[in-house]
Amino acid sequence: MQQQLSHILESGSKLSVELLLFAGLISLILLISFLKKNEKARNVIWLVSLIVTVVSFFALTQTFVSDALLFNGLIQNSSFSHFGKSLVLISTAIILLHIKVMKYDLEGEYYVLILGIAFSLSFLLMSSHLLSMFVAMEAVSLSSYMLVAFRQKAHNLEAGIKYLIFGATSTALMLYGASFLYGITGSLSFAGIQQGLTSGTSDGNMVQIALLMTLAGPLFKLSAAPFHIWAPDVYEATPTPLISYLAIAPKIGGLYIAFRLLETVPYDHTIILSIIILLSILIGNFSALTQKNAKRMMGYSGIAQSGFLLVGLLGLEITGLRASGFYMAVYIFMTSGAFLLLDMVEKQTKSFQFSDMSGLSQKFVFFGIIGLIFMVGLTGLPPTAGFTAKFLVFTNVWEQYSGGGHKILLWVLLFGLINTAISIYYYFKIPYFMFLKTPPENKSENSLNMTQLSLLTILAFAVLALFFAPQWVQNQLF
Amino acid sequence: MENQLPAMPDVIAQVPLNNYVLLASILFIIGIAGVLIRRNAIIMLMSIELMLNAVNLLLVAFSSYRSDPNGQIFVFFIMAVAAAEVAVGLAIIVMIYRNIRSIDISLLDKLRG
Amino acid sequence: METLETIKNLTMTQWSFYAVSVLTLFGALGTILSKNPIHSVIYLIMTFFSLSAHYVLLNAQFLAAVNIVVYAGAIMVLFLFVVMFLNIKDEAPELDNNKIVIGASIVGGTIGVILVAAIRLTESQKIDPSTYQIKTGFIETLGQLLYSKYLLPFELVSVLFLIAMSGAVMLGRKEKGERNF
Repeated sequence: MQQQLSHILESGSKLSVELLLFAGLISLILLISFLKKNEKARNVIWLVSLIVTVVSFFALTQTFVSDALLFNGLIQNSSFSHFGKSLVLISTAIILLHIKVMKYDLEGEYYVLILGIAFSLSFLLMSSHLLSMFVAMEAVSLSSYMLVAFRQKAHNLEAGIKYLIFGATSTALMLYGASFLYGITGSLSFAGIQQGLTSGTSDGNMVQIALLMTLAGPLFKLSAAPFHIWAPDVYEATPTPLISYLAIAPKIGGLYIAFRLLETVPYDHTIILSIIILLSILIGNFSALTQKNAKRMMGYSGIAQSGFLLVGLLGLEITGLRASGFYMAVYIFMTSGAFLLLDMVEKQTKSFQFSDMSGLSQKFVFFGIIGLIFMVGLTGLPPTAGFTAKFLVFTNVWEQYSGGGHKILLWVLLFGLINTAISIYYYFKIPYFMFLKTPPENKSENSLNMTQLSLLTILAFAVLALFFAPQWVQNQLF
Repeated sequence: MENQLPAMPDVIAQVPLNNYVLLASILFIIGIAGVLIRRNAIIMLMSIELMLNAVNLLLVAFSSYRSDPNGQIFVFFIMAVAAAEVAVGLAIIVMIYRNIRSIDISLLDKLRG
Repeated sequence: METLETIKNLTMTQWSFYAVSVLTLFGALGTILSKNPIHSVIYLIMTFFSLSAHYVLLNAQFLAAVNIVVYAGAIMVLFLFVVMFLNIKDEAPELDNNKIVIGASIVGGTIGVILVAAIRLTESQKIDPSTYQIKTGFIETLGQLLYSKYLLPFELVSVLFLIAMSGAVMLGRKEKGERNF
């Protein structure tokens, strides 16, 4: 008993970042309950959440990474989880700034949910046990459902309930698969399952089916096929900064858990993973082609990007994982930048339809050029980091294939490249309308806000800088 | 008191584990069918509860047959989280009803593209 | 004839297993097929009680009690409350929609075939009565594990509840002058 207690206390001392986030969460709830409901109080709450995020980020850079198992093997603070947590905190900070510069006046509860997602994601990124994975993942999901439904307009609630029912179903599928993994091996921890599968004489097909069902959870978080159906509705209905957050943060956790689960089951996953990747890329790209609403288009493109993120996991090599990690880092800057761009466009034109964006850049040339950078990056062309990221993940596939890999890898490579070409068509719709179409006559003359433009420029700078100096991120990677 | 406990429950000696796995799987499939064929949001939530209960039964069966309590702890957590999920889901459903006077999912078609 | 012979030879425990299983599936089918949501709720409660009976058979008495208290007592009351509160009487003609039923049965059938095939493949291992721990599902065992090994998820769940509570309160608020229902 004494030993248990000292182990728990020692493990607790290693969770400084999470404890900071938790303290921030509690103080936010207290502030909401005791402050008056006016704009000044909401600004205070915003400031507190930003400070908590920044302080946690600096605390994270000070923590020492060790692969030791904490809390009786429930969590493990590996170097990948360390990297993932820093990405989560960076994206949280970007979103908080986005909210402020776009002058959203959100109630305090939104910030509780945003910090709650960051808090639960940092546990999800450390989990090495099915139980801690499940609880952390559900905490992320529940906060996301509420963020989507919060506005209480009919279409927000519609997206919210669709998201919830779909999410709960995939959670149930995940649990069903997980319980078979438990039944086969008699253990709930990833290490125990791996040990049970390598030593025991378990049936291969059964384990594969169980793994496939367990993957439903992380694939839902990644919005990868076949668990992508919720994405376009939720993207369209949710306020822009919030969907920008939901488009990037849960994907970090989903990618990590997908990797851990695939690594746990010691079989060859090339075919399953390739099919998931091909489906995501094809469905995402071809549905995005016909969209008229820019946010819906981003939803479908997010599905395709998830496919590209998963490409690095093929073969489960450390170089591939590093490539996926780099892709994730670049994806954060590109996506949050693209959403900020759309939000600024919406401030000018009051809509997310492509046709309403006509000729905007003829008025604001600099704004148009910055916007072009994000779209070039999302497509994956030089000179942006999007190119470097796609290049790295495809190099991984090529190495796998030339090293005697399965034939399907060649298809992944081929379709990936073709679809990169196809995605030019829909990503460049935004700059095309903004630069080349003639603006309608009766437009009111709004000037651009300088703080908004400077945040956008910083994000664009990050996308460009990581092309010329990818080692900035790569040195942080395990 | 200790001596009066049997060595193991009768059901474990007399009913094979496969029966429990089959029962839980049928229950799970009924749940999936419910989510797919019904358009009433409340019944869809209930079908999800059915699926989660199938998982619970499976975990308890595995845990009892292996005499390993970890599976039963997992069931606790599933119950706790399911309660929170239902609370949030029902809150959204009540708000939807307030907005459109119905909880039929197919009437919710504002989002199409 | 052989089947009849097998049925005759069933022991008391096996009888109760099959009886409770039939009850469980009957309740589950009733839940998804009833037109009236209140009937669905009652059927679901029946399923929960029979699942609790299964837990007792499996010697997990504490979980059996928790199942009734949490599911039948809290969650289903919440469901019943909302169903009666909203007073949903209109019958949706959802089951007549052939396209949905066909699609659903194809998907369900495929999953079913996969599952049954998979279950066939699992071998049932022999259980040794001498090493069996009869106290597995007892409250002492579970309590000790919950507060030592699984302390961290236990605390995490409390944070989850905190977030869910603050969110649900916010979701349920109404604007000034809005009607209640």
